[in-house]
Amino acid sequence: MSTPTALRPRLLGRAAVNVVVGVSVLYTLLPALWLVLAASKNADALFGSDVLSLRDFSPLENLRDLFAMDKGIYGRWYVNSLVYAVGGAALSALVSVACGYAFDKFRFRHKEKLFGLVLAAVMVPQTVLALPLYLMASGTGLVNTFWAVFIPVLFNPFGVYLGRIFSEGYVPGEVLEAARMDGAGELATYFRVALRMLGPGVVTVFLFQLTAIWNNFFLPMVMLSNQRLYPVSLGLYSWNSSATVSPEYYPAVITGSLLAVLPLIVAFVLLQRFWRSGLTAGAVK
Amino acid sequence: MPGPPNRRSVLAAGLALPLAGALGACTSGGGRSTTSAGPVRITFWSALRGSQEVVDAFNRGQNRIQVVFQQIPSGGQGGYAKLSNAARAGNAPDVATIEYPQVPGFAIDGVARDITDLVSERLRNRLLPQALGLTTFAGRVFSVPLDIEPMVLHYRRDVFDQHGLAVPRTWDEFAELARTVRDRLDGPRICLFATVPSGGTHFAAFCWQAGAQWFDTGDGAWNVSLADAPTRRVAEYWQRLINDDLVISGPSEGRQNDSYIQQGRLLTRLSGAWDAGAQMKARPGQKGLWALAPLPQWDPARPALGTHGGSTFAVTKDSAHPEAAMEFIEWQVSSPDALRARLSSGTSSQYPAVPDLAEVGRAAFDRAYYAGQDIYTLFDQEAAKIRDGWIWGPRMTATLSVMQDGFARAAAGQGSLIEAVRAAQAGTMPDLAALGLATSEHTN
Amino acid sequence: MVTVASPAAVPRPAPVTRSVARRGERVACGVLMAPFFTLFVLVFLIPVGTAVWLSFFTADEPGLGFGPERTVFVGPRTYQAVLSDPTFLRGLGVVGLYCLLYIPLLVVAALGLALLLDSGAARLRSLAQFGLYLPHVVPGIIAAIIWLYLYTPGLSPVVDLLARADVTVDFLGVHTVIPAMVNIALWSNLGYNVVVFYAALQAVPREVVEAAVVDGAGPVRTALGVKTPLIRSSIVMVVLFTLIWALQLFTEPMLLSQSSPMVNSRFSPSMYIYDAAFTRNNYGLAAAASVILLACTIALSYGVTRWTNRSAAGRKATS
Repeated sequence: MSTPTALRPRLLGRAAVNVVVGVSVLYTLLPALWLVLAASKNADALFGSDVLSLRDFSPLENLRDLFAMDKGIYGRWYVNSLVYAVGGAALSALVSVACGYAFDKFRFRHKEKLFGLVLAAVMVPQTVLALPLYLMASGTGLVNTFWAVFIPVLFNPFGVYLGRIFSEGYVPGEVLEAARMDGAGELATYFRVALRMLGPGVVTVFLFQLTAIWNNFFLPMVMLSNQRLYPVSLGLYSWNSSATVSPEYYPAVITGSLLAVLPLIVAFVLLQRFWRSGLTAGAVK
Repeated sequence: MPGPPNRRSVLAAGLALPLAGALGACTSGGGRSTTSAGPVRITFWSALRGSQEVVDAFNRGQNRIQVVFQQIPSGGQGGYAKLSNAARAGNAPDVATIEYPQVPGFAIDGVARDITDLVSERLRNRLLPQALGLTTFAGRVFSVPLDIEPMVLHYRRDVFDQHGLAVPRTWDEFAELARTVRDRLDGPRICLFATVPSGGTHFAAFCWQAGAQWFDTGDGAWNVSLADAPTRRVAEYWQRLINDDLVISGPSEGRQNDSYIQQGRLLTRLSGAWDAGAQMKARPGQKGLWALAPLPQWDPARPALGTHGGSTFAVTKDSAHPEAAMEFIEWQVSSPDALRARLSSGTSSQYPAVPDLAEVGRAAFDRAYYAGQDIYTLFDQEAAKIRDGWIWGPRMTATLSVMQDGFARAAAGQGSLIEAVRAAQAGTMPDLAALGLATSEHTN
Repeated sequence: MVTVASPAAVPRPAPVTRSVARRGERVACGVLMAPFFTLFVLVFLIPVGTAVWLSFFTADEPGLGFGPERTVFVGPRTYQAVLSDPTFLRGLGVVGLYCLLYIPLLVVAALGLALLLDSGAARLRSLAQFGLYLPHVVPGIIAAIIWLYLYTPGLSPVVDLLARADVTVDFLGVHTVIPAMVNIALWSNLGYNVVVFYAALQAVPREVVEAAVVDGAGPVRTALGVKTPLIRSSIVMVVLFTLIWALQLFTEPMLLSQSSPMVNSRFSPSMYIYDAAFTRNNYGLAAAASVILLACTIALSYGVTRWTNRSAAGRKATS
């Protein structure tokens, strides 16, 4: 780990700086590399802690085993996760950015107080909401259904905050003024003009929420008892608990984990600049 | 549009009736009053093997009550959560299966109905009194026992014979034997001290036998004294065995424990009567190697015993047909046909809570695995020793779980067994207080 | 759900020239906000309200509890029960210790790395940032799985290598289990915060830095004395968000509890809430514990902002 003593390039030189950064990068990358290697080794190599050697590769076999385990339920989980995450994040991004835009462009009484309330919602732990949400879902018969997980993840107050900042930055007042001069209604202006300019912001909010939903574990655990509705996170959790008794699950958990990370890495690499704009917008302010 | 009914609508009407009945049974536990002349439908949930066979036999035997059975996961695997959830949503089954330690919890939560007035005098007289005592609180009955499982000693007859070891009759002899085993045999230990996930029920059986009274409902309050004198004695006893490396302490289920038994590293198992049948199924290769004996006693002159395992049937609050549900339960626990049907699904050595049915079990049980030993005679004799008056607590799953966490830590060298017991009490009282129960606590 | 947004959409009685447009504006504002505020009420306000309600009004089971239950106002009873529960208090202690270890470590490490990257001495800056950031896209449960396996003897090359060097470490032992969790969180979040700090440092005006150098400040003094105070608001944000996140500690211990006897089902407050609600069926207890956790979160967040504001004011006064 880097320590403040490493902040002395003059004494220790450039080399030391680069060593500290390099070691930190190794710390973050090696476990990920282990996952890749472990997922491509056969079970014997795995249990022999023999992951680091270059023998016993069987990635395709591992994949086949993964999708054969428990009648191929992993594929089902994967599709569920994609639907929860992509569908949920897309809808959530549109809803949040629209609200953030309204906060930015319209004036009304107690606006800042209301906005503060929205921001305060970021603070409230998921665990606080879980039991009441469960009881509400139980009361309406939604418990153990797709909707019980899908509806709560649409709520993203941080997305509203980002939406407001992006609206300030990307949608100049003059453009709206010009649209109004042309006689366009407020809503038409938003959907035809502003939303296009907010595009990158929507993508950013989408990405953040995609990760959040893909990560989500507590809510599905509370709401779902039917394995066929599980997202990957909860499925892997249940397999890992089986693995403590039946070790044949270990390779499936590892290969399944690697596969579950892939979509996020792809999204991250392809859409890197959107991540960064979200990070800076969120933190510098 | 009035007119002659077409073929499709007639068909639909014909289908609608039974379907509506089935739906009603599934979604509301038969929650509507059926006035039609057809059979009464009731639903039944259980994780017990052979339940389908029992239900089929019941449905074949009469035509007034139609039981719809659903296999659910066992309690700890989500079965209890499922039952609670269903009860909350108002669609619990008419008949649910609940193990003894969880009966008070479900009774307090209002899931298990008060069935005192539905239990016939005949059934009452046939049930082992200690068994019915476990499901009766303040004079009210909340469920009906199916089996009662005295804890017995399962031991490796072959190893005992080979090394000239005598079956211990007292706990002192057991400890001595444990020392002999450690010193004379290379590797094996006398037994496992179970931690998670079921060490709590093992330990409870030991304490029950020793005269402990963890919970008491005198004076209209839950008096809790987990660390009473008998319990402290039991805890000290096992702590010494652990400290002296005379027993293996670890998980009671899973691969490791399984391989210990498979490889002969554990010479005895201390568990309920049912475990004789479970062992036969799990390890057919060890045929002829095991025998059963009474559990060691603290005082052979005044023998006592606790139970380990066993299930009961409750009628739930959502049932619209409690009488029919009770009729099915009574048949299930007391009819020889019901027990025969259950045993037809595979080996079982459960000891019925209606002791006169033991004859059916004896006849059905293949004695070859235990080299011809008549285990049911042993069970008869041991069941009589079960100490009356034991009461399980209102939140037993949680109490035992805190205790087991402590056991696991103790096994890893952190803390002691008695500390685990005290922690379990400390972690239980707030639960009871939050429910509004009247409580008193004894930490002697 | 127009009713939800309409009080917010009441126009301000200000001198407005485009009075004709006001009505359209009001409608548009309502339409754009309605979906979010529907969710806000449905999955936030009502649940929070329900949690508070459940903690005061709960099914009462007087005596032995076998009689009919009724829902009554129980006052502070449930709170007293939670606060007298040693398993809950231990959970609070665990999370406190976890925060004390994790937050300073994360902030110091991330800030240090960001300053190094910003110092001009480091090479391959964007590649380094990419590498550091990568674990952040790994879902929490999978990060926990990776590290669990890296902690498990028989699966882990780390434990194996250490064993060959005659070092035996039980990563999931009594004293190591909390640091083990801190490590998982640090691994996941280090890069994210490096990027946040680095972006903030990039926004520091170059003239300020150059002026400091002209004044004879070395790189260390420039970094700690000039740059760091200028990104104070970023640091506060990071501390705040990390704190809120860390207080919810759930995923990692939940997963580790499957493998380590040192992690029980009530290890952290969030696990306690889950256990109380879904294995003990004690809703009042779960609700009261949630409200306490919420209160702790609000109090600590308030404390962090107050403390940083005061120290900022103090610094201004002295300089």
